[in-house]
Amino acid sequence: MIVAIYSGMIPAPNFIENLIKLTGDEKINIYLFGSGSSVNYENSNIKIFCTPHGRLNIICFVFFQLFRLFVTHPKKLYKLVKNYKVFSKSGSIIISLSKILPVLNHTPDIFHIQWAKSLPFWFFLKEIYGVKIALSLRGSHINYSAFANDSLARNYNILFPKVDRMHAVSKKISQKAEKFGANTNKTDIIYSSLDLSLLKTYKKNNHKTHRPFRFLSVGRFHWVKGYQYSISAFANLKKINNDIHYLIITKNHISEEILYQIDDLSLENNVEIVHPDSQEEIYKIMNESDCFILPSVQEGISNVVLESMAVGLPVVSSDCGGMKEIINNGVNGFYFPARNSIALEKLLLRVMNLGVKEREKIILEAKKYINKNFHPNLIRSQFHDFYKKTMEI
Amino acid sequence: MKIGLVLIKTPSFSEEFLISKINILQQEGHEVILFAHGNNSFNMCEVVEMPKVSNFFFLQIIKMTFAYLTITIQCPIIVINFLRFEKLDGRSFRQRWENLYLGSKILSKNLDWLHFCFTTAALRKENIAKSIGAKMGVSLRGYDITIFPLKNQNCYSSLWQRVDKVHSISHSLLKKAKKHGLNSSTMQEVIFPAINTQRFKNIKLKDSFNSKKTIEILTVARLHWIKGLEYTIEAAGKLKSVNFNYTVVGSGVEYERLMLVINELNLKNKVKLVGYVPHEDIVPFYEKADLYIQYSLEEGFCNAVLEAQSMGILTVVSDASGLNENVVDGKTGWVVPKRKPALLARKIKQIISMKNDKLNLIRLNAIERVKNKFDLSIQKKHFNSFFNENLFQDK
Repeated sequence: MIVAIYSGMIPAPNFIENLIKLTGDEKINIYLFGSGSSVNYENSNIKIFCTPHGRLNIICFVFFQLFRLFVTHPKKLYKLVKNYKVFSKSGSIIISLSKILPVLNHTPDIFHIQWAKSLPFWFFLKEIYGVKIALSLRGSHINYSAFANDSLARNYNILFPKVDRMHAVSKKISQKAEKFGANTNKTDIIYSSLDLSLLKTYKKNNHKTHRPFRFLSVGRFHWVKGYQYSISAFANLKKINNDIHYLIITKNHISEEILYQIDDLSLENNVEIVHPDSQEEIYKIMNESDCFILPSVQEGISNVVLESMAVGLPVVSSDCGGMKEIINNGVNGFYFPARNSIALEKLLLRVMNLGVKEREKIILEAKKYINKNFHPNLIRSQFHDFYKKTMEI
Repeated sequence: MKIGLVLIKTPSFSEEFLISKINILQQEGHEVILFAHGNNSFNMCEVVEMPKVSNFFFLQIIKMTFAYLTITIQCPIIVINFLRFEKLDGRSFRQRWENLYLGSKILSKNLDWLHFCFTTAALRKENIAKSIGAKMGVSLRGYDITIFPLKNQNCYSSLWQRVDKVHSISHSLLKKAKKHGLNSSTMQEVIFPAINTQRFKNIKLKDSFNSKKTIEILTVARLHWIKGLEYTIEAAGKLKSVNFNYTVVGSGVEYERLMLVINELNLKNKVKLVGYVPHEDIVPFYEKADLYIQYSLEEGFCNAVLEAQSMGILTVVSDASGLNENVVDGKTGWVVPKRKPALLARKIKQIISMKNDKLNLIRLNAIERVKNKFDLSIQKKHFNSFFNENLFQDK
């Protein structure tokens, strides 16, 4: 079986890369399409068909792909020309063709779309070429974009019921997609997998906390991450206990909003922003921290929360999206109502005051939960079933 | 006196404050020249279009060469002085010549006073006034003083050394400028923004609030994080027991963010983001409103709050910078600490339960204060004194 995992970018974000590495084997060959740069997967079952950069390169690429399609699959080319609207309705024709032609030259059995917004563009694969369409329900595309964009919502309402099978990253996001006509009988909830062997090397062994107490958040600066709430909570907590530190790990530049808030609340000496080079470095910092905060207003299921739980770092998360599916409040972590910085402040204080035994108990429960529910073998078999069911439809 | 005003873009005729400023200066016998990017039909005074930077390298080289030749023929000594001052400031060879290009249109005018209407408009142009022997003034604006220096540390150090007189739209902004290096000994004057109170005039005082009445709440602001709209909507979410409609007039990049919070709090039927409305069409929104909220995280002063008070609308603001000076807490409106939606909701509930006599007193106080302190006519006196010639005698 050939499955194309399409995110538009090569390499894709971490959680999609995990899926690619996990599912590619003798039974399932993975094809990757999109722009970016080639990745060495050390897995011969994963093949990359990369669209080049630069206007001239893209034009040459399109002509080559057209020629190849004409020689090898003239019928497919005929159908494409007959249905010219599929490549002429959005943006530049050349750019559209540069995406479509490699897929037609290497047509997969299942085209697995990672971001729902690109579903309207790719749906012709099912309608014209009979390719099965699988869709992952994840991120802003489901959580909020369609609520602010009527035409996107209309597209979802038309196409979601026609998708062959859906993969939801949490129960909550599956419920949201239902509002746009997604069929729950055709939706599988499969959580993300974790590289548990790598995480094991960064496991915390000493559960004593540091002075100053080290809070940690990981994630890009974007309003959806809700840093304004965690910083407000932290500022209030600092009035009670000055011996605290908050580290934010991010890949992008600090936003004006948070830069201003840190200055406004005089937190320059207590809040630190870092940009680590590698995933290993992030795990190392997790290992050296005392509490992880996820202040997001929307999430599917946050991978960094799962990683923190696997490393042995107590988690305080907002109850947004699917987070309540993971966290059993007070047992394997803590959650607070999203956007409520007063509730967050109280929880942070509670975590600071936990005794060593209580901390150990929560950490142990979190690790147990992760090992049971996020083991790569489990997730791999769930995805294999998912693709099998998609083909059976 | 020949006064040059440097703006970001050419003003439109709806910008009453600036129009009034130009009028005042012209009535006083000054010649006014505007320097701005873009050109429109603005014809109150001479408008000089500032040099643009082209994306095409060779076109830019041609434009720069032409500008250098022109300016060197027109005023060679000024060019030499400008480059010398730039060098003394420690600017690189490339920066000096780039700045000469950017300032070339101003350098060729024989000005007595060069005033930058925005603080960021003065960046890379700090040595122009000194080179042409003019005095230099700068207006402090909200974003330029509160956010820009955080992203660009010490960006104004050269400006603070050169500027002769500073105009601020609020005391708090002036205080923040001092935090970012403005010297206390530099001449400074706070001139509050002003509105046309004849246009934003109260027609009749509103009836008292009662359980049957739908309370109309209004905010006029672009959809930007600095306006604190997310917190305002969160507060609206805590007003379940109140029968209200909340209208936000303005467009901006945070539409998706605000729609999410509206949806999450099930406020779709109560909160409306109506988008951009031209300033000349804004009065009907004020006329309909019972309560005006400006729960910003940062404001230089905020004209919309003045307009709302002038219309006799009960006004609630945050304690952000200039808003504290705009509204007198408990007298002309109410001031609530920022980022605290629960407190804002509580305050709104308190106001709704107040007796109408008390509310009418607040409304009348607000109308009176805006008329006496923030009307365009009051501005005349202040601007006359700002650009007076005593500065030249003092120096």
